[in-house]
Amino acid sequence: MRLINTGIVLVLVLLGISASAQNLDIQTKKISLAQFFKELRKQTGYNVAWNEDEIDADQLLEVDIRKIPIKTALDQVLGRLSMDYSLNGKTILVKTAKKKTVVAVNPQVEPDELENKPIKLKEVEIVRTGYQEVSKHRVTGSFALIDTSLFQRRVGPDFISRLEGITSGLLFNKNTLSSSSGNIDLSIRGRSTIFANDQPLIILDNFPFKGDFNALNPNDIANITVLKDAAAASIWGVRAGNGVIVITTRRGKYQQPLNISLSTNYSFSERPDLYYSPNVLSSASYIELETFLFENGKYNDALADPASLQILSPVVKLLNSQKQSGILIEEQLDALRKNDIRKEYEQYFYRREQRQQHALSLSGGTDKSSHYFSAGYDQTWAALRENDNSRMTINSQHSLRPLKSLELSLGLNYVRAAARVDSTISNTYSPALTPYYQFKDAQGNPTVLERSYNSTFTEAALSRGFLNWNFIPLEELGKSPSNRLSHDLRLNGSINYQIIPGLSAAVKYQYQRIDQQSTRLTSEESYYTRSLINQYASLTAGRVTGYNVPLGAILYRRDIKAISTNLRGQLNYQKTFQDHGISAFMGYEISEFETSGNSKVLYGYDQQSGNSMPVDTLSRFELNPNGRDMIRTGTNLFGILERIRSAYANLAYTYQGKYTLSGSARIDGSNYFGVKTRQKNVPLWSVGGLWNLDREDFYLVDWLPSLKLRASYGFNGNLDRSNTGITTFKYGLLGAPYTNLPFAGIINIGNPELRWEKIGIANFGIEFGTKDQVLTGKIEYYLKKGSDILGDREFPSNSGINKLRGNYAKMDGNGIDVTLTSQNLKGNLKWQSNLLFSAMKDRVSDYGAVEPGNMNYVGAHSNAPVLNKPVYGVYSYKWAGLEPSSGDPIGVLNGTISKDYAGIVNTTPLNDLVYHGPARPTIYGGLGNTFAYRKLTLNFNISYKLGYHFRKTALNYYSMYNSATNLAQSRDFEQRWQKMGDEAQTSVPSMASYGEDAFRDKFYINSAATVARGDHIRLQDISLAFDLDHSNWSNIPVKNLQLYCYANNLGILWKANHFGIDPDLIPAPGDQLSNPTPRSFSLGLKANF
Amino acid sequence: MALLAVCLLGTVCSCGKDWLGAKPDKSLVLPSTIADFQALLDNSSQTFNVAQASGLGEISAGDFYITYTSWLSLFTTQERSAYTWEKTADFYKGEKSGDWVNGYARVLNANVILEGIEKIKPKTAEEPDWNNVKGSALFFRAFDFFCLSQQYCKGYDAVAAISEPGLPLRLDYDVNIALKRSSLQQTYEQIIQDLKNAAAILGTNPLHKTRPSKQAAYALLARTYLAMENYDAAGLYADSTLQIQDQLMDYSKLPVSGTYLIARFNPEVIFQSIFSYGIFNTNRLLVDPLLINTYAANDLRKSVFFTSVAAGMTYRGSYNGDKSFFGGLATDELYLIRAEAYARKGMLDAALKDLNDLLKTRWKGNYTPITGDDQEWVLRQVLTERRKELVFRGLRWTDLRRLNKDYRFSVNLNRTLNGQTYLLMPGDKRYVLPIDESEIALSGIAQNER
Repeated sequence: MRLINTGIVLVLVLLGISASAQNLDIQTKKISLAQFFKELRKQTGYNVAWNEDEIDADQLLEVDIRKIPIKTALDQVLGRLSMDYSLNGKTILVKTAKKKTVVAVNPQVEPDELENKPIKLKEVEIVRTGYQEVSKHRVTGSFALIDTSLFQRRVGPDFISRLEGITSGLLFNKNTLSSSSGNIDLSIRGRSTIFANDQPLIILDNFPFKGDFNALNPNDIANITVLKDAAAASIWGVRAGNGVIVITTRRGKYQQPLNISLSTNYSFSERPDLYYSPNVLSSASYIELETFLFENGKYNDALADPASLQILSPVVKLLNSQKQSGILIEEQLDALRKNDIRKEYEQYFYRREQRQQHALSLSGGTDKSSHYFSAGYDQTWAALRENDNSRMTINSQHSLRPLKSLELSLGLNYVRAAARVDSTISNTYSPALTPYYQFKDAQGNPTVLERSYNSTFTEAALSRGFLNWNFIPLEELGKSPSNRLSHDLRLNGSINYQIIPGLSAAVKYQYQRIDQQSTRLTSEESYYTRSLINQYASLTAGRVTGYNVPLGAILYRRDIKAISTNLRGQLNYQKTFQDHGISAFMGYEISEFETSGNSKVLYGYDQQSGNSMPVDTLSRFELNPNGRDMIRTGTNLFGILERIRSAYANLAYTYQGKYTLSGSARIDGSNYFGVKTRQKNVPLWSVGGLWNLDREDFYLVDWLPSLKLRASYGFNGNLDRSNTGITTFKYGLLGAPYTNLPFAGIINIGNPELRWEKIGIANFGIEFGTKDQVLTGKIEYYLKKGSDILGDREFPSNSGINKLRGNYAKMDGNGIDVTLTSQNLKGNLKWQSNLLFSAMKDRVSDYGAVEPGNMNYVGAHSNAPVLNKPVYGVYSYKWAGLEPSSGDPIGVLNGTISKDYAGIVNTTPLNDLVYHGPARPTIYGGLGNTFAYRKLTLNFNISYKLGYHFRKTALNYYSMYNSATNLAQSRDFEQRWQKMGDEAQTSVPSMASYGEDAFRDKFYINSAATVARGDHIRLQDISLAFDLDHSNWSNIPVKNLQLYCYANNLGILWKANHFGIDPDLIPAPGDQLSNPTPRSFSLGLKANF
Repeated sequence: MALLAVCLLGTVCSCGKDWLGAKPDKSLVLPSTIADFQALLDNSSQTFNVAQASGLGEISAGDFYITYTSWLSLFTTQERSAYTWEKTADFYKGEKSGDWVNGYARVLNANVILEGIEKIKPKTAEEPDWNNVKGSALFFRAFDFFCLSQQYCKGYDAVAAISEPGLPLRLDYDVNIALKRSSLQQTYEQIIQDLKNAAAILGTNPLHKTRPSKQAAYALLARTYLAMENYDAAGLYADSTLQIQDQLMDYSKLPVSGTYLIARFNPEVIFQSIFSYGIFNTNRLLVDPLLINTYAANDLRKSVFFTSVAAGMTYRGSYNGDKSFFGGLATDELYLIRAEAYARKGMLDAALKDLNDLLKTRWKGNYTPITGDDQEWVLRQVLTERRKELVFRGLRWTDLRRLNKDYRFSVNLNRTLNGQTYLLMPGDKRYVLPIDESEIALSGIAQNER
C-alpha cells in the first residue's frame, strides 16, 4: 500500500505515471473538485484519493476538457490548482505541490474571475476543537464556523458580543440574574441544566479561558468555532455540557514576508434614552400622589415628631405649611411640576459614549521560524460621566522549526485594563430624590440632598461638633470613584515532535496569572468619609469629643488573584492510505485554577506616604445617631481551587472520502468536593458518522450537486461546585450572640450519591449545495436528554431536612438549527444573504419537589422547576379584567370570578395558574445581507427572538403608599382606571384605598395582565466598507487599505408587546436608570503594509 | 473503544488521589477537629437553644386566651388550630409543623456531630473537650426527642408504652434512611439512655448556660421521669441536680422597673433554651384571670411575671430576659420536682421544706411557711405552686396530660372564641398533636388521629 503524505511524496513522484490512453470529456461551468474526480472515475475507471486536510474538494472550478488524454487533462486542471498527482495502479493520488507557496485566498475573489490565471488553492476549512484541527469534510459532529469577515467587520471592545446574531444556535440571554449584573449570559442550543453551571466553555488557544471577555483584543482573533453536539464537544468532557466555543488567535506563518497591519477606529453613541424606564413618574403625577398620601395621613407621625430623623420631600413640607398656616402653595407646586429629574440627569450625569480602538500587528516567517506580534490600545468614555476605561494588549507569538520534525512555540500575552467607576448617581437614592428634585438651585449652586438624615438633624449635628453631614450630589460626582486595574499575563509554550511520518507527539503548557486591584479612595471631604467619621464619633454630654474612625481619607482596597495552569501531553496519528484515512489522538492533561480575594479598609489614609492610622476593630461602638457596630477593616472574600485531570482519545476513520466514522472517549477527575473516588472520574463518550452522499457514483442529482449526511450520539457532562458530597460547615463571621463564642452552621448536608450531570445528545445533520452553490446550507436536528440533573427532592422532615439537592431530576429537549447562504446576484453587483434559524424546546421531565404556595412560580419567571415545562416559564394568576364600577382588578378563585385577592394569592394551586410559555426565546437567529459593488461592500444584519413571554414591572400601590414612594414609581399610574369605561382601554387598576393590604397589588402585578410576548426583530448593525489597492489606486502607499463606517444597535424593527418595552431590557422594580444601549456609529480604517 | 476506555480509566485513577482531594472552597470547613464540632454546638441563635418543640403544646394548654381579632391575625394556621384544639384533618391545611421540622433539624445536627466526633481520637489533654462535644450532642438529641414526644406522642403509660407509637428515632445522619415510628417505650428508653450517657461525660461547669452540663442532663432526666410518673427516679435526679446547682434568686432583689425584670442566664438557669410563636406576643396574649387570681397579694411573681395591658394581664417576659418563652431548665423546676416526689412518697416535711425554700424567695415582706400534714393537701400545694411558678415554660401541657389521669387533679379546659365554645376533656385524643400531612405523605409514618 502506498501512502500519500509529506515525507513520501517523492517516492510516489519517482514511480512515474503510466499515462492512460483513455480520453476524458468534461465541460461544465461550475463543478466541484470532488465531482470532477467522480466524473473522471466514471469515464476512465481511475479512482482518485486525496487528503481531506490538505485539499478542499468542494471548491468550484471551471472545466473545459474535450476528449483529451487523462494525463493532459490532469495537468491542465490540477496544475492550475498548484497540485501534484501520481498514479499508483488504478488510483490517482492527488496532493498539494510542495514547492509552491500557497497564497492565502481572498474569499471575495470568485474563481471565474481568474479565467486563465492559476487558480489559487482554496484552503480547507478547518474545525478546531482545542485538541485538533480537522478538515470540515471529516467532521461528524455539529459545529458552527464563524464567518471571520463578518466578525471582523463589527466594531466593539469585546469579542463575544460580536458573535450575536451571526452564530448558529448561540443565544444571548437578557434580563437574567447574570446578565442584569453586567455579565454576558450565553446559551448554546437551549438549556441543559437546572441549577448547575449554564455557561458554555470558552477555549482560547487550546485551553479553557479564565478571566474577562474584555481582556482579549478582538483583532488578534483568527477564527472561532462553536461545538454544539456530543461528537464535537464531548472531547471536553465534564465541562462541555453547555457547548464549547473555541477561539484561536493569530499566528505568524512560515515562509511569509513581513506583513504589517494597522487598524484604527473611532466610535460615538447617541445620548442614552433616560425616558425609557417605566419606573419614573412625571412631577405632576408624583405631586398628585404625594398630596393623596399627605391627605391620608402618611406623614402625620413624621410631621408630629420633628425630632425623628425622617426625611420629608419639599411637597410634603409645603402641604404641611399650607395645612398649618393656610399659606397658598399652588404657585410653588406649579413650579415644581415643571421640573423633570431626567433632564437633570441628562445634563449633569450623562454624555455621549465615545470610544477609540487602535491595533497594530506584525507577522512573518522564514523557513525555520514564524512570528506574530501585536499591540492594541482601546479607550472608552462611558455614557455616565466620570466613568471610563482603557485597555492595552500585547501579544507576541513565535514558532521555531530547528529540525524538520521538531517545532517549538512560545507565546506571551499581556493585558492591562483600567476602569474608573463613579457611582454617585446610584448612591443618590433618598426619599427626597423626587422627580422634581433639582441638582442646582436658581443661582446655579449645587443643592444639598437630604440623603440619610434630614436638614434639622444635620444642622444640629454641626453645632454639636460633628463634621458637616450634608450630601451635595454634584460635589460628590467624580470625587471618589472606584478604580479597577487588572493585569492579565498569559504565557504558553509547546513542543511538537514528529516521531515518524504521521505520528507526532506534542506537549503544551499554559500559565495565566490575573491580578485585579480595586481601590476607592474617599477623601475627608467626601460625604462617605464624613458620614462614617460622624457615625463613629464619641460624644461627651452630646458633643463630639473624639473620633473612633480617625479624621482623614479612607482607602478601600480589594485584591483578587487568579492563577491558572494547564499541561497537556498528546499523541497524534494521521495517515491517508489509498482508500483509508485515519486520524487519531490520545492525551492526558491536568489543569488547576486557583483564585482568591481579600479586601481591606485603611483609615486616616495619607496618599503621599501611604500611612494609615490604627483603629479599634474589636469593640462594638454606639453609632450616631443610632445603632451599634464594629469598625470594618476587611475580610477574606473567597478562595477557590479547581482541579481537573483528564485522559481522552479520539479516532476517526474515513473510507474513500465518502464515509467517516468517529468516536471519542474521555475521563475526567476533579476535586469536586467530597465525591467518592469512583464518582470523581466520569467516563463520557461519543460516536458519529458522516456520509458524503454526493461522492457516491449513484448520486446523480444535477440541481443538488453537494449533499452530506451526518449523525452523532454521545454524552457531555456538567457540574455544580456549590453542592458537595460530604457535610460542610461555615463559620459565622462574628461570635454567637450573648456568648460571643465562635459558631458554625451546616451549609451542606453531605449527599454521598452526588455525581455529574450527564447530557446525552443525538444530532442529525444534512449539508447541501445547489448547482453553482447558489444556495448552500446546513440543517440540523438534535435531541437532548439530561439524566442525573441536579434538582431538589423533598425529604420527610424527620430526616432533619425538607429538601436536598441531588441528581434527582431529568430533562429533555430537541431543536433544529438551520444555516442558509444564498448568492442572489452575481456580476458587478453581488448580493449574498445569510439566514440563521434556531428553534428549540426544553422540558423538565422528572422533578420531585413542589414549592408550597405559588409565589415561587408567578414572579418575573418561575424560580422553581415545573414538571413537563421548560426550566424557566412564565406563570400568572388568571385575569378577568377591571371591574367597570370600581376599576378593581378581578381574578379567578376556584373557578369563579373573584376579588378575594388574599385568597387568590394564598391558595391558587400551581395547576390553576396560567402558563403563558417559556421565559426565554425558543426561536432565534439572524438575517445578514451583503452587497458588493466593485470595492464597495455594504452589509446589514437583522436578528430576531421569538416564542417567549415576559412580565413587565407593574404599578404597585401598596409599595408606593407604604414603602419609599419614590422607589415604587410606575408611569402606569398615568394610565390607571379613573372612570367608568376606562376598563376598555386599560388594565391598570384604579387607585387603591390608602389602607388597602398588599394582596390587591400582589395579585395584579403577577396576573396575566402584566405579561406579553417577548417576540421582536431588531436591526442590529450596518457596515459600509471601501477597499483600496493597486487595482483602483495605482500609487497606493500601502498594500491595501480599507475605510469603513459602521452603525450598531440600530433598534427594534418590530415587537409584539404594546408595553413600550424592549424585551431585551426589562427594568426591575425601582430601576429608574436603565436604558437601552444607544445607537453607535464608528469610523475606521484598516491597512496592510 | 471499550478497551481504550479501560486504559484511560486506569491512567486517571492510578495517580495522585490526594491531588484531587484538595478543598475547592476555602470558606467551607470540612468538620475535622473537636473545635469544629464545638462551634456547631455553640450555634445558639440559629440551631440549638432556640425554637424548641414546645410551642403548640403551650398554645393548647389553656393558661392564656386571645381575642378573636388577634386570633384572625395569627400568621399560621397551626397556631389557630392549636388554640381551638382543631381536628387532625384541618389542623395544618398544608403547612409544615414548625416544631417537628425544627426539632428534627436539631436531631440531624446532633447526629452529624455524634458521627463526626467518633472519628476523632482525642489526646489525653483533649478528652474533656471531646467528652463535652459528645455529651452535649447526646443531651441535645434527648432534649428534642423529649419535647417532640410531649407533643406528638401519647402520655407515657408503663403498660401501653410497648404498643403505643412513639417517635421516629433518628440516630444516624444519613438522610436517605427511611424510618417508621418506634414504640413509645423505645422513645423514652432512648431519651433516658442518651441522657445517662451524657451525664456520665459532661462536666459541671459549663462555659455558658447555652451549653449542656452534667446537672442539665440530670435535670432533664428528672423532667423525663416525672412525665413517666416514675416519681422516685424523678426525685432522685432532681436531688442530684440540686446538689450541683441549687441557687434561687431572691425576687425582692430584682429590679422593680424596666421591660424585662429577670436577666438572661440568671443564677437559677441550668440550661438555656427558648421557643416563640406569634400568638405569644404581648399585644395578643392575655393571661387566664383565674390563674392570675391564684397568686397571693405578697407573691412577687405576680408583678415579675405579668404586666397589665388595656385588655387584661399579659406575660411580661421570661427567664430568657426577653419576651421569648423560656423552655430550658432552671433550679426552681427541680425544687418542685423533688417536692412532688417527696410528697407522693409521704415525706411531707421534706416536700414542704423544698416548697417553702422556693416560695420564700418569691415573697414580699415576711414569708409565712406553709405547713400541713395531709398528703393530698401537700401534694395539691406543690402542684398549684408548680403551675404558678413554671407558667409559660412549656411544661403545662405535659403536666395536664399526666395529672389528668388522676381524677383528683384532672382539669377540663374550655375556651370561647367568636361566640363559640371549645372544650377539651381529660383523656381526649386531642391531647396528642397531629403530624403534618407532608411528613405523613413523604415518610408514610402513622398519623395521630384526633
